[in-house]
Amino acid sequence: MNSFENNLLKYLTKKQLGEIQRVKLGIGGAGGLGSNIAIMLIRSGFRNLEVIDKDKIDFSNLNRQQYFFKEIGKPKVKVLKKRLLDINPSSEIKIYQKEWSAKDGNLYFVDCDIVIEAFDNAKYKRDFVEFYQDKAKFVISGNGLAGISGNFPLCMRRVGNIFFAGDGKTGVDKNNPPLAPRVTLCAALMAETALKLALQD
Amino acid sequence: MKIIINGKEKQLLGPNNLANAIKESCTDPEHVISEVNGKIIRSENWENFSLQENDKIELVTFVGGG
Repeated sequence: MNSFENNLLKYLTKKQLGEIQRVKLGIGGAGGLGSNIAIMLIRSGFRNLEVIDKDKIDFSNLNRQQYFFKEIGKPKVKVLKKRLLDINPSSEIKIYQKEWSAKDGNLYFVDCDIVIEAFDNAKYKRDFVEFYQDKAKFVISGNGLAGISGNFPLCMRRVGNIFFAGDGKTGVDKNNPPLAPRVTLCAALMAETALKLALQD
Repeated sequence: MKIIINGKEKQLLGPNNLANAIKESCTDPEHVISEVNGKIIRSENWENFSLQENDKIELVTFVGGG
């Protein structure tokens, strides 16, 4: 155990940390949800994580994603991996700079206990969750996080082994942009669900 | 035929299969994930999945953003 992990024992019991460290996580998407979730979960003690995302960092990402001005143009997964290792150098981070599709879905997240859906396209989200729901123990998905909370607060809906975080309604459009507070709130709900499942499982 | 979708009763007008139930309930079936009586049914099987009276269906419609 390195010094970071030793210090986690100020907040978690040895048994809890052991349970967290045994869980293998997969994250589809390294944007507003994925980059925030990955950082929160590494900080929480998870150390085995796979991420897939095809995109390079763009200025339009900086309003909510965990990337910096000087990193524009670099692949998100590469920068995210560096960020995660900067928190816990002992983490095992596997990255794929690829476009996910159901036809090669079996190449990714093999043996992952928890698979997290963090894409932005609705069709992608559906295909991804549908693909992994009978392969992982649990799937956590973000659904409805755009704009500023009005009548629809973020909540968690469970269907079988799938957990949906968000308001389930508000997609990104002209009137409801993806903004840091609500996207991060949704990411935090998803990360907390992963933590809860790791400690209950 | 009467089915229960997301906790509410619904009369199916067309054929008694899951694809039709989703078509009659959602504007965008491509964005939907479905569970029937506690089991997720993949979209490729919706057409051949026959429904029975009082089947309990949970539908989640995805919206964009991440």
